[in-house]
Amino acid sequence: MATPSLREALARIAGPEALASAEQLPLYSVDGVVPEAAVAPRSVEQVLSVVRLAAESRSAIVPRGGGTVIGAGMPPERHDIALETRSLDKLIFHEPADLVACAEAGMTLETLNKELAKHGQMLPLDAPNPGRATLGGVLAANTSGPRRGGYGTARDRVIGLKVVDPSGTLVKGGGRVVKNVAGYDLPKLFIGAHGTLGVIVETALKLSPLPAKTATVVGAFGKVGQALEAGLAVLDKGLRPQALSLLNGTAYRLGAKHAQMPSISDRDYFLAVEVTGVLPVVERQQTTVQRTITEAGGKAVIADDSIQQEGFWRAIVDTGRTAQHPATMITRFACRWEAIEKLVLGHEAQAESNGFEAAIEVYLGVGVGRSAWWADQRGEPDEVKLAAIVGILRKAGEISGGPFVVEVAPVGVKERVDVWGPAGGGFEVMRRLKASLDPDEIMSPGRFLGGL
Amino acid sequence: MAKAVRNRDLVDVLKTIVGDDHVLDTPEDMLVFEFDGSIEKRPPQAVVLPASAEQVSRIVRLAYEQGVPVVPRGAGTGLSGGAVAIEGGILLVMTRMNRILEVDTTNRFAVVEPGVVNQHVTQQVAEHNLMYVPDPSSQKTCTIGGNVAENSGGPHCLAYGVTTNHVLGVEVVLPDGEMVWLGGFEQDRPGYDLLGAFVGSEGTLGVATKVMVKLVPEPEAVKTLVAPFKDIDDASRAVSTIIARGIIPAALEMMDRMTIDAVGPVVRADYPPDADAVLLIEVDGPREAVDADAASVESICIELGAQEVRGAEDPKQRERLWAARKGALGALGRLAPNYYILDGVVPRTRLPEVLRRVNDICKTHGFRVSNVFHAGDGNLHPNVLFDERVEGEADRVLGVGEEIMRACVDAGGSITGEHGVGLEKKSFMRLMFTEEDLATMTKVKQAFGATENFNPCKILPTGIACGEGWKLSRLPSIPGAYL
Repeated sequence: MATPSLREALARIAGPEALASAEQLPLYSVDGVVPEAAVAPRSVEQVLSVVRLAAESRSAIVPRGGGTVIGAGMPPERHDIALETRSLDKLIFHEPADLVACAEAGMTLETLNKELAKHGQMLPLDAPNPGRATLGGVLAANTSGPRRGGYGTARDRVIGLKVVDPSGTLVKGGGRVVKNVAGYDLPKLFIGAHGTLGVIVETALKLSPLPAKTATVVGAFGKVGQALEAGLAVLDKGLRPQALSLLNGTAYRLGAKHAQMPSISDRDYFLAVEVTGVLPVVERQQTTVQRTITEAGGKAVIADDSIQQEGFWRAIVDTGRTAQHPATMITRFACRWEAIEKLVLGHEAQAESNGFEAAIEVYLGVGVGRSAWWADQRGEPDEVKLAAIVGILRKAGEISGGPFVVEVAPVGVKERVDVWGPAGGGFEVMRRLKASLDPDEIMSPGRFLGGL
Repeated sequence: MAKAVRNRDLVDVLKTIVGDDHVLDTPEDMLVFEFDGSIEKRPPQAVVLPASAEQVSRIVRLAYEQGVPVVPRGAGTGLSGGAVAIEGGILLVMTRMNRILEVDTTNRFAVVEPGVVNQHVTQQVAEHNLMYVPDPSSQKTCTIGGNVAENSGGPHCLAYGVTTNHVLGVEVVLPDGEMVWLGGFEQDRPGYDLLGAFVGSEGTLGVATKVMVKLVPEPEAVKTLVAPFKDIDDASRAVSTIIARGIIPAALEMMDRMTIDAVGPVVRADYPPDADAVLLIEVDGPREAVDADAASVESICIELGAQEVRGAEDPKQRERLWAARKGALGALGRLAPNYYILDGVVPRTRLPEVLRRVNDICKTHGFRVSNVFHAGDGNLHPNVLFDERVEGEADRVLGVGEEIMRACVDAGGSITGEHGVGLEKKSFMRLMFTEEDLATMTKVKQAFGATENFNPCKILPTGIACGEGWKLSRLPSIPGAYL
């Protein structure tokens, strides 16, 4: 791509101040691939023009929000334009009595939630670094966290979406009402598409009321089986926790450190339960969870101080994603109850024998887990070893049929294993959809499953 | 579309696939399959009832190769014409595939065949204190496959979400006959969310042959409240106030005076004679939460002018409170020979004005209307009463429907909340969507491999082959219609 003309054309569309300087460009690199230009359009019209320009010149675009999860995926085959949504940050409306808000995609999760909190409401989607994570990025990556058990994921929250498709056309799906079956559910296709079908520019969302009271109960166990037993018992007692997370020792202690909670160094597995509601509901659930933990052989710790709880869960969601303590590799997997113990122990065995430390969390009742990996001695992470670990754990996961995705890894790992793993059912339909919407492969080319 | 296969040959081939007893092709046998719960009617060339996914695949492949239209169908309770073979061809009736294949109480899912009746799922898992949430009012007859196609709702979807929030995976026969699994228990599968696109695609992207549904624990406590209001505007305001104060009831339904009057003197006697609207509210969850929510709901209703608030926790008493709501549609037959059930959505805060607008539209055109609907979701169901025997009335009632749909869209809403677009609302799609939006939907359809013959002429107003080939047929009386 002829660099000066592309940059000039982008400057004509969005103004020179919307363009990153040449010195800033390395900040926009994705897996080491530095773009020719980075532009932050200030209106949907400008996004349309940028994408049209790219479509005409067959320049590859990698859309990005706050860049917090931009590492998910294979290295881009081409990266001409980094298209930042951060300047599209308006709240379009918030109607508290409808429990609905509509915002531009570049608004950060934290900004939105601060606004909603003024009216006692929230968008309960967990994402690391919410001060930088944008709505568009959270949707494109389908980011989720511990509270998905109680509140669902972006799939359950998005009621409408506006997207600039790869031809530079504005396309809308859904609407602004909470119940709507008019036409195909297009928003579902763009959620979790990692920017390969278009640029999300606006979204309408179903909100939740802020709970009157929240408490977190942590159970500490010697064996993973005990923690799982307690988790299952919590669900069987008809309790409705918003979060029910199994944590290994590393994961728990990272959270505990940030929240000044006891480190409980003599136990290796933890069950962290968040219960919400009016005071009597929280009190009874808290007592029941506590008793359940004790019955399963655990030791219960309660955090009802809201700052402590917030700090704890924030640290859990941010695990491996902070600037201070970034993980070398982060994975996400899914499995049934019966496979959880084996997968957790498998992770730990791999970590130990290869000289890594791994923080593991599994959202019980949902069956989704994640692990963050750090080399336990100073020095370069061994990419060959990490790639081998992915292969082994993926194989273990395959037995239960679940996906095993690498969300963060050095390029050296991505050169050795596919971060997405094998394609499942309907891949041919996906391929045709991509080919039809993005025939010239200009949207995040080569980054998604099977090269989508 | 040219029919490459003569009817006789088609029937013979179908019989070799499913057996002689499971293909119907005489006009008498096919009579009940000519229509669904909507206003459309058309006989298929043949009705076939497969017993397995393999048979479905062979039938769909045959239709694909021969260029014969094929239309999947569950129990036929749909209200927008999705299961009508409007271009003739093969009507693929899934009701023989009605086994519950697996119930996993630990991972909390069930795998069922598409012909399983909605309510049978909950009945099957009730002993484990689990339930399948979406509860369309036709749940005693409608099938899970049909629910997946229509992304069905129901009164209890306010707090818990609609079908798409409760389906984990589907085995699908694609329009070319290929069989694939979309989704599954394990979440966050990489790739495009084809499951999400499939649910609610009204049988135009493939045929579900197995459905994996989420099961959730029964709530510890349930309380039902009824609150009659002298002024329907106050009832509407109570709805958005309840939501605004952070209470999301399991169900929040409204019936207007016309509906209450229709359900008969016994139920009518339960409400003050001058009640203009009744709210039916159900709260569930942990005991203390139910008590707290019920108390708040009661005080909000009183604050906004409810004449009284009565509550019940005992299942029998709760059932009595629900009786009027559940019997409402059946009772409308007492008021007029026919009624046209509409389905539109508006933001909850716009309910008062849109309800007034609906009533004005009907009044202007000289029709009576009964409103009984999912107020908490803003999902309106005006039932326009008419008499098809009166010359021109059927056509005029369709015009009223269109005006009401426009009113919903003008208020920022949707032309359908749960009944689907089907044939009925194709022409209204342009009220909500641009040509570009519709073109993207067409691309989705093509990506699934659907040709013009796969459940033809549904949802998208863009098909050139359609529109001339059929016209709105007469409006039948709908004794078994549901919402």
